[in-house]
Amino acid sequence: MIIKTKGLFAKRQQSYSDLQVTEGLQQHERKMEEWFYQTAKRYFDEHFSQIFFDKDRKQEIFQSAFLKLWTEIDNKRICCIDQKVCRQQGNGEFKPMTCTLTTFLMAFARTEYRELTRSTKEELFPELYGDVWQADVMVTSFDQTESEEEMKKRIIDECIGQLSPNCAEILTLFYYNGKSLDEILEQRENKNSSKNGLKTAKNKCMNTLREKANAQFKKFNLTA
Amino acid sequence: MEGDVFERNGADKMTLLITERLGERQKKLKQMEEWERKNNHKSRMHRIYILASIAAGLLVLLVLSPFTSSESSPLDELGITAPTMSEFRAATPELTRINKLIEEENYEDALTLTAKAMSASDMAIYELEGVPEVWGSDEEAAYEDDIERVKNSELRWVYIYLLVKNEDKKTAKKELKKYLKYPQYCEHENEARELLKKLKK
Repeated sequence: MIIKTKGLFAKRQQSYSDLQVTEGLQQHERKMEEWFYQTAKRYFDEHFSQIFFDKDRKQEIFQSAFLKLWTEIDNKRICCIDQKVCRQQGNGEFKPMTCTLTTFLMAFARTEYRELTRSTKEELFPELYGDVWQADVMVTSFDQTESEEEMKKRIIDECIGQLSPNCAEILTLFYYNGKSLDEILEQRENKNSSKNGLKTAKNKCMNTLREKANAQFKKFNLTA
Repeated sequence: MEGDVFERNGADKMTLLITERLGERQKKLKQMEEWERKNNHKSRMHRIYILASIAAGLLVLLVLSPFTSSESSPLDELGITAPTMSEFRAATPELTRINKLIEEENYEDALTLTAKAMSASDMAIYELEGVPEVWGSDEEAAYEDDIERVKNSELRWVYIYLLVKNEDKKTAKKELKKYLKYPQYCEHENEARELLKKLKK
């Protein structure tokens, strides 16, 4: 992946191949993670800037897309086989990627853009877009070499990745951050009308997430 | 049934796994936010550096301007271009040489040479006035005198131009007065008057 740096003060930066990036990210090399983020961001800014008028929206899309790609690499859905960057297909097989990681990121960004448009409508017309899911298509597949635990993690990540931003936020605050419903209500300001409303939303999000994950576990004979 | 706060101890495996993965996701998001903050800080610093560089550049220009910017020449202000004597009937190799030196912007040498040519011309006029019989008939002498005066006037104009170019305004003023003494030969009378006014300021 070679990204040109522009500008008068642009420094000559070290660049890494997609292979190095994939391996680095899987080994949780902080410097590599940061380099990849900055490089991808620059690429995104150079190619997508004209589309967005809203800087926050642009950042939101980039972060979601980058998170997806990062998670895929982290979960080894994208990995290095025989010195090639490969991605797991729907049937579980790994095939060499035909595009670069940044191009792939842009494909994610495109999907995120569509999702964002949808979630904007969801905010405006909740009765029409009341689902907790952003997309129905699950891309989970099973790899014989993958351990059961890894597989489960990956399925959960994919299920979380398909949650609406609202759901993901509520669940993270409640389960991971250990915040009380009152605290979440306060933190999210006017996003929920009442504590009961928040509780219902939280339960609905969690139940749907569990159902989806369980359905995938069942599909691949994994124990819940 | 969960209460107002999540209790880890009583949670099932699936919930714990979900919690762990939500945590992983949040860590990644936080890391990205940190990189973004770093980015913003960098670009802010970048902007500050650019602005500081521009300000420093302007300051240097401001400080150096008295040394670098020269006063504009009155010739330029009046639009007076370098005089040429190529069409002059009495053109000599000497005059051609003056023209060449002016073209090369060697005003110092051009001035010296013009001064010589001018004093030769002054001498010639003096001779023509003093001993007209040398030239044969009066009419012929008057004609030669006329030619020499035109040449002299042209030379003086070149001399004035070169004096201004060499920043000798005092002599230029003196020469301009002499030049304007014989308006019948002054091809550049208007320019000369304007220039004199300008130099007197």
